[in-house]
Amino acid sequence: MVLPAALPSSVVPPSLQELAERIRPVVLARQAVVPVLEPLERLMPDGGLIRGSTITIGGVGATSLALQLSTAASQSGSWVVVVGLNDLAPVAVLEANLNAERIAFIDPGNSGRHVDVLAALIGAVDVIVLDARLSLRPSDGRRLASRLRERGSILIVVSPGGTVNPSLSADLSLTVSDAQWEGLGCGYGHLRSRHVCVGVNGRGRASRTARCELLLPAIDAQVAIAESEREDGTVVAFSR
Amino acid sequence: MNVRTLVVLCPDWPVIATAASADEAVAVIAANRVTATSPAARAEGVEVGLRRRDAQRRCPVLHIVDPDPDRDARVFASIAALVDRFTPRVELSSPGSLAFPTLGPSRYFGGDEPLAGLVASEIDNALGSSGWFDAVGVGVADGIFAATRAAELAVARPGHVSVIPSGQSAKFLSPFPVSVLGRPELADVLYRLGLRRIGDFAALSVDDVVARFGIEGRFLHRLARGIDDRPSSVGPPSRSFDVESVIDPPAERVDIAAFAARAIADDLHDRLCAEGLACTRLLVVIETDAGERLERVWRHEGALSSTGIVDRVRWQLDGWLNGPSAQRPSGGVSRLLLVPDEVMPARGRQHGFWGGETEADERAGRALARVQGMLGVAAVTVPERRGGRGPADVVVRAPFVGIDGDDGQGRGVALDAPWPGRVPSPLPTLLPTEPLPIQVLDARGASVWVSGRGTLSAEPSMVRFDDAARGDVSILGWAGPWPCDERWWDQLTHRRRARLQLALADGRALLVQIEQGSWSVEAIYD
Repeated sequence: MVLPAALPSSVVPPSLQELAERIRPVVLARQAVVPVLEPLERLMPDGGLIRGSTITIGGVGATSLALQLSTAASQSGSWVVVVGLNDLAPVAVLEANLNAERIAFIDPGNSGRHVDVLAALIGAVDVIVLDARLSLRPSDGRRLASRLRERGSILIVVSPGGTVNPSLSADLSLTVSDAQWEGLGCGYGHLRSRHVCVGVNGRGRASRTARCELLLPAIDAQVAIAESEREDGTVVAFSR
Repeated sequence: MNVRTLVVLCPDWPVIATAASADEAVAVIAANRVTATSPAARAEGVEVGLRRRDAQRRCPVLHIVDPDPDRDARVFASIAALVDRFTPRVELSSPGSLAFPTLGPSRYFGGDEPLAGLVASEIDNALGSSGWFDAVGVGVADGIFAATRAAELAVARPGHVSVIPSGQSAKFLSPFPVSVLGRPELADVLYRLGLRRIGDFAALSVDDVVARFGIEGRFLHRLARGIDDRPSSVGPPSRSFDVESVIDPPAERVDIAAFAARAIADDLHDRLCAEGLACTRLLVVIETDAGERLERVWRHEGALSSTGIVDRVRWQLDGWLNGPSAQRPSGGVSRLLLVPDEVMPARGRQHGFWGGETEADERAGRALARVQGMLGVAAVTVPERRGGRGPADVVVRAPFVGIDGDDGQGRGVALDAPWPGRVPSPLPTLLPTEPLPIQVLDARGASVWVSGRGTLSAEPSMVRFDDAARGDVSILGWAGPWPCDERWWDQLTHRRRARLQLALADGRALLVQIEQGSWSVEAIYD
């Protein structure tokens, strides 16, 4: 428990201290964390996906990153539901090692009911991957965000190569950039791995911008920390 | 000992229940597969088990209906009411089929054949008044399995009656193929062992069958020998498990009464579970405050779950409260009574120790079902492995049909089955929903093409997108062409194309294909 700086703990009357102990929540918000794959832990200020938070992902490679972020949750028994993203290849989902038994795709089409769909899913599934191209009114965005915080689901908003929906205020926003493919020559080889930079910023502990270099995908179609970064260690990431 | 049983069967019931006219081509499609058809649709070649698209191809005017067990059961209540005049001991197994033991009624009506004839003509007239003549079959035999087979045959016969003399069930069953036992895996094994008819299977010794196929094999072997399908362990419960609910004030609407049913169904199910029992036959009694009373016996092949019990109560309520006005009760529902009539030791459903079906699955299943209610059944899909060369073929989206624990990991074929010439891993993540035509140009700006022998006309150096916003992007690396000539034996689905993998200067990578001389983006590595 962190007490306000104006009141050094010695000055605080013991009864108040007792009270502070008593009203402290048993689980702090940042302790209710859903795990992510080990190479991605460095992207997350709290080492995982915080329940009730909204994460936006943009840039070339956003889809892969969103899938990899939900892999560990899916493997540990959480449901992952994709809303929109009709162009998402189902094979990529399985290749990212998500549990095929606990994933579903929802196509809201142009029914305009995606807000109702999201409201029905929040609380019932742990991870919701939302297509940023589905428009949300600011009031809907606020309503969904408070529902998320209350029910503890995680919303990952993906905009493949595009801009992020401004009506959802992200707790954490990831931007993938500087993609460089390896394994492809001129007329030989095939795509094997991609070197990307992921920029992180957000609110609270994430407000300090950080960058991470990743192989997304690495040779085995998974995610890994880029070699160059491991060697010199110059890239700033969150220390925990 | 076998009970002489009469079975009434309407094979097309899900279609009849939609109130379609008899000469219309109608099919009920659940989870993309045809589950029931009308005679007119069958004449066009629409069969049970076809995919939706194949069914539509065979019969373009096909009218497609979503399955609705509630509707089926509601309409079938009127048929059950007709049979009620012959006997009070009617057992409903599913909408479209009912059974009763003939011992008493057949003495009263002068034998099995007159009884079956009366039942058949009564129902045929009732269905015929809405145009559905010849849609019912009535079979009488020793045991429900043989009687059901007899009823299936009777549908096509004049008079719609087929009576198998007492003691002749085994002989009657022997020429049927083993697939009618209703266990496709077993039928497949038996077929490959050279046992193609039920008679061949029945001729095996019990010991051999048990040694090879276990308890389930013994059960099916009994069926094949014309011995009633009830295992000897099934019987009336040793003590009373009756549960009742008094509804005060009386419920006028189905949903209110069904809500009360849910609580007692859970209670009944829990009490049976605690004793290690499962209910296979359930008596549902509904009483109104005006003193009317409707009893129905519901039979289930496996074991009724608590939602299964609630469904049956709701079907019964729905059929009564919203049925024809002559049969409708005058008061509200004041009392519900559930009596498990027949129980058997529960084989149980083993919940996964690590994972398996959990509460989270149940919650997610409910939410997804709700979304299906909002957007339609086809809007919620799950991945299904199919196998193939292109990224779009390996895994496809299949409609979500509830969470079933036993389907497990085996859905579809393995990802690593050999598909020579498939696109190498990692696979692309985005498949454009609309075709994205492009031009692939060489260093001098001329179009690149692939020859019939699978060679490129020149090295590709630039991609030109059709929309001006993206413009031209130069190519950093490329691989291919990978020719792919698929399904050349079938004119309709034959595809011949060549693929190129491209890494572009703006960091994107594409899988592009040339088919019939024009390039398009097949998939994007995002």
